[in-house]
Amino acid sequence: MYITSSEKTTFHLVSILVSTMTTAFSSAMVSFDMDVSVANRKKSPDFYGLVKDTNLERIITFVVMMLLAAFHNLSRTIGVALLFAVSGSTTFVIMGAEMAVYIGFKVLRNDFVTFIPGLEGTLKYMVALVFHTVLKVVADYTGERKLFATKFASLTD
Amino acid sequence: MGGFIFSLSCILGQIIPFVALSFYSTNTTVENKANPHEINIALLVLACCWGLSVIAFFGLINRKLIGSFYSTKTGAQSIILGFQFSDDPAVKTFMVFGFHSSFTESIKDEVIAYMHDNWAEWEQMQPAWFTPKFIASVGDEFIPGRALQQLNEAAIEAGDGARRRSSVLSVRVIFGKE
Repeated sequence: MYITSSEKTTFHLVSILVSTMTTAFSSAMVSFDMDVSVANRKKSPDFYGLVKDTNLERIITFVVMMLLAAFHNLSRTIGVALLFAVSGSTTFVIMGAEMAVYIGFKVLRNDFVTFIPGLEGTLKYMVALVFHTVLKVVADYTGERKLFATKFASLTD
Repeated sequence: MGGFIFSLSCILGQIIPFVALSFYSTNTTVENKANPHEINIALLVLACCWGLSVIAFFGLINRKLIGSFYSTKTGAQSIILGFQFSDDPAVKTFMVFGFHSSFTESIKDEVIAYMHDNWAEWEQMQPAWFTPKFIASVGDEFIPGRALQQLNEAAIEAGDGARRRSSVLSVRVIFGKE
């Protein structure tokens, strides 16, 4: 970890930056593709259609989405790295508390069950728990908004 | 509540690093500690850049959808609205049968009435989405009696017994590829 490493080199920082930009590019690409999809805009016009339609607007919006994801990812990652440097257990408590509040909120609002048809009984809740946990972690560290709203996340918006 | 929670999570993502830094700078057990002042400056720069990106993003996007960033609608509410406000039968049926049945349980009677009213027309017109796969995903109660009887008879003739329902979708359907 860079912040606790005895040898802090520029190479470390470049490596972190490259990883961040790769994540940001993937995240922005997923978001962008889902948003401009004609099928998605037709199915859910209240959610898809953020990106305007001219080429220039699309290019600029994509770049801004990528920067947004990069800054978001860096802030989150630095925060977690600092917490880890202090104590692993403190990190898990804070991250776990955030996740518990999120899941609790979903349960209280009767929004816990995921979209997959045919799931019943305990499996319905187990799948929902895994889905929400994985999606929140991915969304938290990529800034990938569409995950919160796609079919994958029970079209929640 | 995706939009609201997502926005909250983004804001939290900007606050957590500063909270973590306060833990980090006051902790005395960390070895090879980086300069907290420099980290603080880096975090401030990042937060400012993030803030500017947010402003630029909201300036660039379609204004009428900004509400989706603070919407508190649940998945079920979105699905029900999608069913009730769409005029396209493909979208309406997707909203009901493409998702978990609990989402539309509260409007089940409305859905049954809609399906019964339109099933004969779809059988006659055979729209592209009215496929055997779709029909297999529809519960018996949503199919008018005569059509259900025909489907069962066809299944018996084919040697399958009564018509079989497909309740679990393929991975491609789950990921929205079909």
